[in-house]
Amino acid sequence: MSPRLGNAASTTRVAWRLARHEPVAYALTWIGWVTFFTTPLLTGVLVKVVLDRVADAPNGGLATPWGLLAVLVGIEVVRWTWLILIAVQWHGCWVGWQTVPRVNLLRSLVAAPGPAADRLPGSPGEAVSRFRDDVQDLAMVLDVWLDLSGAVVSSTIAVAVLIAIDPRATLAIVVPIVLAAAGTTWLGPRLRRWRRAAREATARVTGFIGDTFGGVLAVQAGSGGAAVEGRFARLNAERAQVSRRDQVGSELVRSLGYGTGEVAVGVVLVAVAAAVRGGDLSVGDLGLFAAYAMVIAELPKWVGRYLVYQRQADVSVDRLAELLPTPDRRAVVARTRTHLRHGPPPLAPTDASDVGAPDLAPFEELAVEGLTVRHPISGRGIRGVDLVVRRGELVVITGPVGSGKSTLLRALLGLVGTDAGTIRWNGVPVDDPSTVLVPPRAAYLPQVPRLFSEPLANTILLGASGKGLEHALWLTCLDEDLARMPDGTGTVIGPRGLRLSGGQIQRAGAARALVRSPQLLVVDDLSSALDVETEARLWERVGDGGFATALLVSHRTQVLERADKVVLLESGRVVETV
Amino acid sequence: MPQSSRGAARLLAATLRSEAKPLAGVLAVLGASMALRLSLPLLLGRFADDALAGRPADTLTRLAVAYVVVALVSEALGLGVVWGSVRLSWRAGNRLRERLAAHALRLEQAWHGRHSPGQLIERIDGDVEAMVVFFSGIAIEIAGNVALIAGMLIVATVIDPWSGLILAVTAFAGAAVMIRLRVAAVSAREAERQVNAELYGDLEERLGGLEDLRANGAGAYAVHRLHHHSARSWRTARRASLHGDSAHAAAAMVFAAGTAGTLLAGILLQQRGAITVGAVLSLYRYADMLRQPLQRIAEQLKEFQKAMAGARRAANLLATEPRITDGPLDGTALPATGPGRGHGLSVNFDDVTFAYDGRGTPALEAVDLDLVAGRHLGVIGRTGSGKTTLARLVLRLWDVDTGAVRVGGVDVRDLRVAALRRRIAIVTQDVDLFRASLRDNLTLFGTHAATDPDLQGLLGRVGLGDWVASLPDGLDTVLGGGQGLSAGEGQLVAFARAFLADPDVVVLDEASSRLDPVTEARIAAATRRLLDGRTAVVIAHRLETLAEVDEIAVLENGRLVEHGHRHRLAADASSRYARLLRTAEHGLLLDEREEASA
Repeated sequence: MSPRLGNAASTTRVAWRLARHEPVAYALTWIGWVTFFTTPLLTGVLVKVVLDRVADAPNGGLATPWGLLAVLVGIEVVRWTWLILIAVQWHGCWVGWQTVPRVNLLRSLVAAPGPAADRLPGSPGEAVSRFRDDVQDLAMVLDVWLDLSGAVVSSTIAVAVLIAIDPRATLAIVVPIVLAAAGTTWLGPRLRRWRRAAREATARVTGFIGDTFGGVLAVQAGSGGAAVEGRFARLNAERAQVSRRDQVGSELVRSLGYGTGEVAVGVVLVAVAAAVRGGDLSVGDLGLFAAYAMVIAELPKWVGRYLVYQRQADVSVDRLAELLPTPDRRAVVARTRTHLRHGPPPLAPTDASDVGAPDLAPFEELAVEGLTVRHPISGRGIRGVDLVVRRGELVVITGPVGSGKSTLLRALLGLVGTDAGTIRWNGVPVDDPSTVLVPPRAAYLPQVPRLFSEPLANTILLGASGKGLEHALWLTCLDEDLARMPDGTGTVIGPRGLRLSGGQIQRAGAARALVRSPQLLVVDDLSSALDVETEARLWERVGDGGFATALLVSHRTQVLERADKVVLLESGRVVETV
Repeated sequence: MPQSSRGAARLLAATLRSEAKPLAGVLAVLGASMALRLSLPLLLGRFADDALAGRPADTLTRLAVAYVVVALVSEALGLGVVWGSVRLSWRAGNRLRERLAAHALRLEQAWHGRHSPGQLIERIDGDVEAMVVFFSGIAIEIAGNVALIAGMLIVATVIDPWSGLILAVTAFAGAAVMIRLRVAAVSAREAERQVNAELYGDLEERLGGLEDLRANGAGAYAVHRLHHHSARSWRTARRASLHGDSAHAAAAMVFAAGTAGTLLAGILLQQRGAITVGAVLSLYRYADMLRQPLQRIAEQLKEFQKAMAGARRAANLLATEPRITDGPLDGTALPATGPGRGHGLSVNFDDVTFAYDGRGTPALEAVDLDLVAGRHLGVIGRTGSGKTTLARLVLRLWDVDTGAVRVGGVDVRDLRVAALRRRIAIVTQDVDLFRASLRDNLTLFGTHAATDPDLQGLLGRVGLGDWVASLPDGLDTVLGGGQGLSAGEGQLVAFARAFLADPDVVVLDEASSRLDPVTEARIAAATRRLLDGRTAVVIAHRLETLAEVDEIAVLENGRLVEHGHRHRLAADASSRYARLLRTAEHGLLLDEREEASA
């Protein structure tokens, strides 16, 4: 399938694919809703029979219809008990519909070939808005299908019954419904535009909140509170403006549905006036027409909602597909297990599995030729970098700020896209380093490691088996710090490890890389947060610990001294290799 | 819990009160719309009676047309109600968002340590969103439906007191059932919201650490966690539904019984000739209409429950007292400084002991340290020895457990927080850059006033002149997720930000650790200018960074183990500082060579 075809998949097809993940669950929920929607038709017929008896009987000549009224109450009791069952069932489905795209997108972001960070929009806060709001918009389509099905089935039956009674009056009902549908269609494209604007404004607000509280230290220490509040108020005001337009527009469409109900009853009255007078229609028929007109008039409401949600989802599915390596709308809902009922099975230790290219031989040599990365905005990056790392070597990259050291490491690992150059592992070209240069072949310590809010051991292991943990903690000199923590490796650390010191965070990051026993260790400036003593001890331990090969960015002279090779970068070019 | 429920109610009431006038207008239009809707069943009953009585077709047609017109006008008024309520609810919602954000900004670091930015997005935006949804439609509609029910009861009573009574009993019984079951539903809904907040909080962290996950082959682990959170969400959603929808269903059954009862009463009365057949039809339509607003109320009850849960959490957030509170003294309590007036402010630690969360091993223990105004102190020690803690206590990001921290001779707790922090600037190793223009990043969204030439000059002084000149949008360039900005450059931006604050005390916490020696040397002059005439606390791992400080303090496991003049300590071979110097000596020499060649 070509990406273009995949991209063109209509929202309906995307949603249909999503529904087919749990066909039985969806079918059950569907049947449940349709039954719930159609039972009022039965009630309507019962009431007609009652009214006709009342109107036909001479005063006092009628036995009170106790039986009919009891059946009426019985039907309602069953109907609402039924609702509880399908509501619970529906809530399970609702979570499931959201889980499938979320799992697919997260899996793609963490595992699909190619640089992933570029795919994320702006801040993590904005990305969360895609995982939350856009995914919900897609789920809404499946939800509205249920309501629409119920409305279609019940109005079809209602129309059939009414035609049998009086075809002309039935036709009269169609007029207001067609008008309502026309209005809805006219509003459609505008709603879509307004919707997108509202979403973007919302993302700016959530992104700003995320940024502000991510950098809350700078804001507090810099007395920036008032100014931040001012900016927040401005973003809020902008959002309110576009969101109001969006909401009133959606409400107008919904009202085109609601209002049609009573109007249709009135139109029916106009149409049947003659027939009623002539005695062709009974009072019961009149009641039935009024009741069924309300049922049929629900249809445009649901059609309207369906169109609104469908259009919202059009935008949302596009935004979700953007998170994939090639925007593919179908891949958003690719088949995947959700594990909702029993929870996911225990995670197999990830260090055993060999992903990417299992046939690659153990590390002998990594050769980089002509590696070039141009940053699209600033135009900077690295140009034509050649580099060779052999087994057992310690290669250090150094150079001034902005010379491209981090970019080189990240390009090598496939974390940023490259414009030119080849990477060879033991002479074998590596097409996608982002999936090949991972454990057990390579592990990476970024300049600012991100720790997660969970027990320290978990944020280091990240699913690897715990067997190397103690060793890794010792290598990074964390064993001493742990002795002072209340729960040892079980100590839960705050968001991004806020309660750890800068050096502890970086050493935890180092432990994360070391615990995977990589054949090639890639480290971006470990020393920036470590004191002289700790760092000296750490390198001593790592050096003796058998980590044969390492590629580091560093300025520390102790490190440069130990190096087998020093690569000096300046303005993105290698100016010297010693 | 009842306390926080009351807090939530108070918060909702206060939020509504500020919109009292527009709200009254909206309610008036709503009343008119509902009155029109009320007249529809009467028109229908009249139509039936007139038809049975064999009135002329004209009369019947006129009644039918009136029915259509009334229905249309009522709907148009309904739209007006929506327009008004959406406007007022966004105003009120945004005010609350801003209040919550401002409050959270005043809470101390320890609190932020427990709440991730992702959680705060959910609490400042998600919870308020639930409330906005509530006000923009639901509250108004509930009010309208209550009015509609009241009107119906009155009209039904006028037709026949007995049916009015039956409808009234039905409405009360239905409402009682809903209220009884709602309580359980609220807490289930709150549990659902909490689970979702955790799910999104976790996602936010993982998405922020995407490269860490990828390059360490931890993708499967992240996906596993999402599965785990989703499964919890599934369970809580179903449980919340069981509670919430049972309330809905039980009430609906009560109303169904009411409809049957009304119909029965109508039939009995008609048999006795007390009312017409048309009146029976009208009564039946009212009974049926009674169910519709109920259905809406029940649907909206879910939203109401969400809004209440949101309001409760918002009230809880607002009730969280900041532990760092303003003292009585304003900035004038501090010695005046500035050009020709003084040299920074003194900093004193008087027997300071401090533990995070007030328990566990103290991060600082019995630290006594005096720093004369204008002098520069270098702080060294192993990671985790308490250096950063020391620095942050000066800014009063935490309060000490015992002892006192004084700046300019005043206990920092006696000062207004803003007055203290205005005189101090900090540069840390974790540069907090915002997704905003370079100008906003430098001035902290305008906290520090500065003209563009000022900013350009400043960037030149910290060595970013060429960089900013290369930016197509210059100072308007939006810094996005560190794109096009290396960690070192980010650090330089932070230096520039500190300059702009023109502080009396400067705290550098590993400020230059991300800079290579060449760049560090390049901005050494700028740093010197930044520190000149100000008091400074400089924390560094690299001893060469401390080559120009006046004094050295050595921390070990939270205790001050050495403090003295740098030259004197360096000369004393037995001092810890001298020992550290020897460890790093070789490196220092190499660095100097490199510098000379550069």
